[in-house]
Amino acid sequence: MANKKKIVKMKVFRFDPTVDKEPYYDTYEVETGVGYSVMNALQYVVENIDPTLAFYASCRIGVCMGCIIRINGKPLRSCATMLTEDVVLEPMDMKNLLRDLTAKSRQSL
Amino acid sequence: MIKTDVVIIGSEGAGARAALEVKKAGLEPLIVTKGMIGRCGSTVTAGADVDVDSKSIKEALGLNGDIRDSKETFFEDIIIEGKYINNQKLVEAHVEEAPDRVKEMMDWGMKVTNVLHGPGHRYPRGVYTSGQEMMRVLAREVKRANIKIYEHFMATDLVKKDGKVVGIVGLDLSTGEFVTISAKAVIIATGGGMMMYPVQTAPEDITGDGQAMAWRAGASLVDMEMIQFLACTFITPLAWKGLTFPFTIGPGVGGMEIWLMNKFGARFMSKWDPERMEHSTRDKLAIGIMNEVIDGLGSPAGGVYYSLKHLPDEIVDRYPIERNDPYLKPDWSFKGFQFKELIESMKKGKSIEVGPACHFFMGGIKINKQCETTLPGLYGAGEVCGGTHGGNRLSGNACTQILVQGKRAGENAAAYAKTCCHEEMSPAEVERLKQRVVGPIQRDCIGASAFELKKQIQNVAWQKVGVVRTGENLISALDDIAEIKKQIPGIGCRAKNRIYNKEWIDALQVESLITLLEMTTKSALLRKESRGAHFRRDAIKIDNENWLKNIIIDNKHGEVVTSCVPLMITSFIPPKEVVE
Repeated sequence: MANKKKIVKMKVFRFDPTVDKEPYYDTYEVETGVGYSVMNALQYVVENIDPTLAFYASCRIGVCMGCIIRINGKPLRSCATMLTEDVVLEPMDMKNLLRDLTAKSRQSL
Repeated sequence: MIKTDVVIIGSEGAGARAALEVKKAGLEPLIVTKGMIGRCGSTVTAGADVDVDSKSIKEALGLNGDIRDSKETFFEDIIIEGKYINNQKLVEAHVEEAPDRVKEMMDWGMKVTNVLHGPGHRYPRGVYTSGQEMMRVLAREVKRANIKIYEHFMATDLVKKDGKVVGIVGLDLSTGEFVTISAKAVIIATGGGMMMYPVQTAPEDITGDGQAMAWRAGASLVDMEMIQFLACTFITPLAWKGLTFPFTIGPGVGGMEIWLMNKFGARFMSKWDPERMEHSTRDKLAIGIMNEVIDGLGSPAGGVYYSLKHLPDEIVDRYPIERNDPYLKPDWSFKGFQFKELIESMKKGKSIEVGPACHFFMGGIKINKQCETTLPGLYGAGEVCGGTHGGNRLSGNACTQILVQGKRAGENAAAYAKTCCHEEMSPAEVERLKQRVVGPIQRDCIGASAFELKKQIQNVAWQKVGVVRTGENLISALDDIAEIKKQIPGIGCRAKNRIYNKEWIDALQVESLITLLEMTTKSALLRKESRGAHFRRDAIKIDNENWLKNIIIDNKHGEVVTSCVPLMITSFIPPKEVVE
């Protein structure tokens, strides 16, 4: 676990198809050192910095797989990935993208 | 407006199982879910043992069961551990149909690892699989049956006509549109309300929406004071909060002999269960831990110390290799988290801080054996319904409940739907329900945000309506609830995005949570005794003389009103005396 406090930058993919012509990135700074997962940090951003950020979170314990996004390009569970260094966060599924990091599943109505 | 025969709110264990039954009856089901099938809800997080009487495990399932067990013995154990307030008709259906429901899952391809013997069960009854496996099988069957799923749809209210439920309304989270769905019958299968508390083993989406919308529509609820806490989850760091790893390798079935200690190193469980100590039942463990915390004897993060220093290295090292658990791997990884480093430091003497996390709602919507609620046209299945488990749930019975009640609700809702037509909804009524949904996105955020109110609710729940309760704290909680309720009609969103707006979702979820908290608080205040998961520090005895009753919650002109009703007894007569 990260014990020392440090500021970590999260560069996050943003796109709202109803407003934006094309995707862009926002960078948020989050203080870690309290054992944050990437999901905890995203939740921190939504509650304290930018309520417009969209991401999917359900079980938080690594089993539902709903929170898989690209973390530095790799598909990983955001709940089970600790935030220890600067990261780039992007959606897993561009084809079914809803907004920002959230996507529809392929089984949707 | 969407039209379907039967709409099912909730896509996971109970909902998916119900939908299969509706389809089998030749009707068109529509599943709506706030998340995505297999990617939300509690089922996927389950251990998961699925209880069946041990004799049937041997004879009907062909697994390693004990033929000395019987359905009658299983029935008795559920009621004994439920502290006698279970609805015995629901328990009858549960034990009677469990073998067929599990057999069916195995025929559909559900893999079983072994059979476990959980605490409180006289025989090994836990057919062990995983929640992921259950959902893999159910989601595949749903797909095979061509059942439509409306994902990212948050049902917000039931629509009634002439006293009957004739459809639902809700928010399409993927577009921000308000949607009306007309149906001949509605099944609620939305799970518990564990997000009412700040630490929980359950997912983010378990916010009691089903209980709250049923109450708003006038359905009765039962046993809402009965909430199960799973002792020994991590309480720190944030990323591990609510993870059940310490429970699984310790007090859980097949765990090691770990020690729980207060800040002076005392193994306090000796006060509560000197025989079973740390392997006591979930309710006693949670109550034991929280009494230490309240008395100022806990750890800095608000729990107690958990140690395995006394165990020889060989025992600890061999444990994950021999455990045979679908989630715990030989390298100490657990559900995607890696604990090897932690375990190595614990062998050398480091302790971890653990505490109870909200795990399960025994109470919920009142149903009968046919899974009918008190409202015509409305059915319930799974954890959203109360009565099966009484005051405490035995390990493994949640997964059995979703299968048994899912089937029953689907079957009976379909039979009812065949006798009905689609009804016109009153435009004025739909408009009223719409205003509640679109209000937060139309208003500016002036007062507390939805996120802040959610935290306030969770804090009140934990501090005053948590594991250890007193009349004084419960009364004080009602004042806090009244204050929070005043702010809810004014919640506005800072974010105005229509698509998947988390602030908007929370604004709606907060309304469910506050209703749930008020129901729990009022029921807990009325029950002036301790029973099962409900522990009153100001009334610590089980009072069978006065409290062999259920507490019912109703909606009287928009107020949460409680009353007592006699137990539903079929064959098991509870004892009459007061127990220490």
